[in-house]
Amino acid sequence: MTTLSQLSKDLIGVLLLMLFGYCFFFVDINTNDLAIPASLLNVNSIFLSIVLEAIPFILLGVFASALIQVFVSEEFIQRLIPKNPYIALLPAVLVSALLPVCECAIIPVIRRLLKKGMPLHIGIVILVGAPILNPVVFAATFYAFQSNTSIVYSRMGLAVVACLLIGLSVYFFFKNSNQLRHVHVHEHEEANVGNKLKQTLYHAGDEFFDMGKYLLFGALVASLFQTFLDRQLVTSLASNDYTSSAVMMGFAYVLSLCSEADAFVASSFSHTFSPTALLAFLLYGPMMDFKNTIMLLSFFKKRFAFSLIFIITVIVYLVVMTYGIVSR
Amino acid sequence: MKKIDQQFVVYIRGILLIGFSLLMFKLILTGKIVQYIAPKMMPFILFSSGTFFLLGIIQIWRSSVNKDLTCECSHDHMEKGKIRTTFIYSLFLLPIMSGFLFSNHTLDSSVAVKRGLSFSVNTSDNQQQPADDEKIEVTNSELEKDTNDLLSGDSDETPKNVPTTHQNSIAAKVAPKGFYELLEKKLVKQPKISINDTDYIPVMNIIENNTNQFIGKKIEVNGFVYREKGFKDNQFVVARFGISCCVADASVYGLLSTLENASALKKDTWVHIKGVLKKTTYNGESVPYVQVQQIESIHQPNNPYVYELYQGEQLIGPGE
Repeated sequence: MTTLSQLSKDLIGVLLLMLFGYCFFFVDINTNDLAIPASLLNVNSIFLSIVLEAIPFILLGVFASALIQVFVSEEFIQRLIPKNPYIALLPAVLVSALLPVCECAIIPVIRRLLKKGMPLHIGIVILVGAPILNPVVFAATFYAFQSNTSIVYSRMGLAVVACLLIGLSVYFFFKNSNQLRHVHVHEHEEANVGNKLKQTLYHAGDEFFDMGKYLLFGALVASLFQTFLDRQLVTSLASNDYTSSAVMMGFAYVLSLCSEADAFVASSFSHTFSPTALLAFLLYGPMMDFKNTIMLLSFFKKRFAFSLIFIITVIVYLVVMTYGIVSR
Repeated sequence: MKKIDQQFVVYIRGILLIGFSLLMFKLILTGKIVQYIAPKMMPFILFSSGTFFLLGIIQIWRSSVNKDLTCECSHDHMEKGKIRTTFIYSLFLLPIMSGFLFSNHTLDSSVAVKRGLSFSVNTSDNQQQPADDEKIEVTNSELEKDTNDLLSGDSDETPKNVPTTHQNSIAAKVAPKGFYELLEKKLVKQPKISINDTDYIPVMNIIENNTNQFIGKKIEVNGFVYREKGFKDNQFVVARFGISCCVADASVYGLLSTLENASALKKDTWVHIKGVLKKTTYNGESVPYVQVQQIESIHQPNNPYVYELYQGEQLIGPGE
């Protein structure tokens, strides 16, 4: 019986490989004879583009995480971070400004760092800060808003403020408790380099699937919104700064854009929305979106993940509204 | 029994990784990859394709070596339940197969309608200067005069009085402005502008930002026919999807055009138009439009999308 099921499993694998091989060599990519409704194909195009765009960055994040796992010790991290939890926020913001990574890549890295004993609120600051406070996003925002550079500087400045406040809130509510799901502190008894390399590659493969299933689901839902959500509706929902900022945050959430690209989308709204609402979009999108939520839920305990989403939402909204009132 | 399941999962993962790798590789080979992501992302995709292949081989090899399965953290990577596991891995199979089968599709005007035409980054001339610049009032009237001079006068002469003063004050801070300025100077001199795919977005931005300088010029452009609600019978847009990173962030660019019996044109057909640039108001904003003199239908170009021309921290000119 065991051998039979083993045989059928092997067969599934071989058939899959043959299918991929057939598709690779014999399916003409320039034809499209199957009668599939165009709207479904639009969804598919957007879905695949999100996936293909995110894959390299997830891979980079996964490798960084695997390297940290294998080569960075707990003691090193402990020594690096200031003892005072408030002072420690500052280097955290600095680190997020230096890391040129987007939201897909940062999650596995942060999870690994938290497992290695990085204080929770510091990890969260980097998690929300790195996708906005980075040179690539700065440049992209700059080109998208060449005519209105105040948006660029406000985006960066407000992001720093929001990150610090989010870090403080997380520290206030959760201190340095362990909020990761299934955490096992494990020692590596083997030490030779070959084994470490093998472990790194195994980890990378495993983590890709770990992250990938959430990414795929998130991308699927986001692509449905991307295809069917009428952007006129977004415009019509907004009547003043209070509602339009909220609407733009919701919009950023469902679109799940990469932080490098969201500025271009935001700029297409620049005559229908006030700078305040645009900033709400530009701040909230990289910190929190549909794709992120699913990934966060898989790594953190549910209560913490939802609290974090709540904290981020409230703080971003308050920061942006304050900015709106002050700058008026 | 449990052990075999785990082994099987690792085995399937390896095969799926190879599937992804083959898909990416095929998209790169056939050039279809640019229908999903911008060309500047290419190195990343090459990297992923190679890495996936390697990781796939390693996973398959690992599934055949029993002792390696008990990696110290494999328990937190495995899914529970047969149905759930099947569902999750079908989710991975989905993009691979749909990528192989349906990569010939490009976004159509039904998506464009949902997104709305983006009339460039900055629509009016006023917006281009920082609001706190005191010179605006003065320079703006100068600008009007200069453009009028320019339009009536000889276009061969370098426009020495054209608004360099305040634009330079921006250019001092903004490196990429240099490219835009050069391109703008070049375009202003030309009596006829033919918009090509490489610098489509910069040219469109320049035309929309400085419409006055371009009124009366001949213009040529390709695009698909697209209409928004509330268009008159003779109005349509010759549109393109502009992409900065991936198709998900595509926005609709295009020139409003007018032609008798334009309603006879089917949406999504690709056309080449020749005409004269004029100015009108649409939704309360002043926008350029093309009075079409000649129109012909063309085949959809190999690559229907146009891309934002910037890479990393710098704006790249076409062909660089």
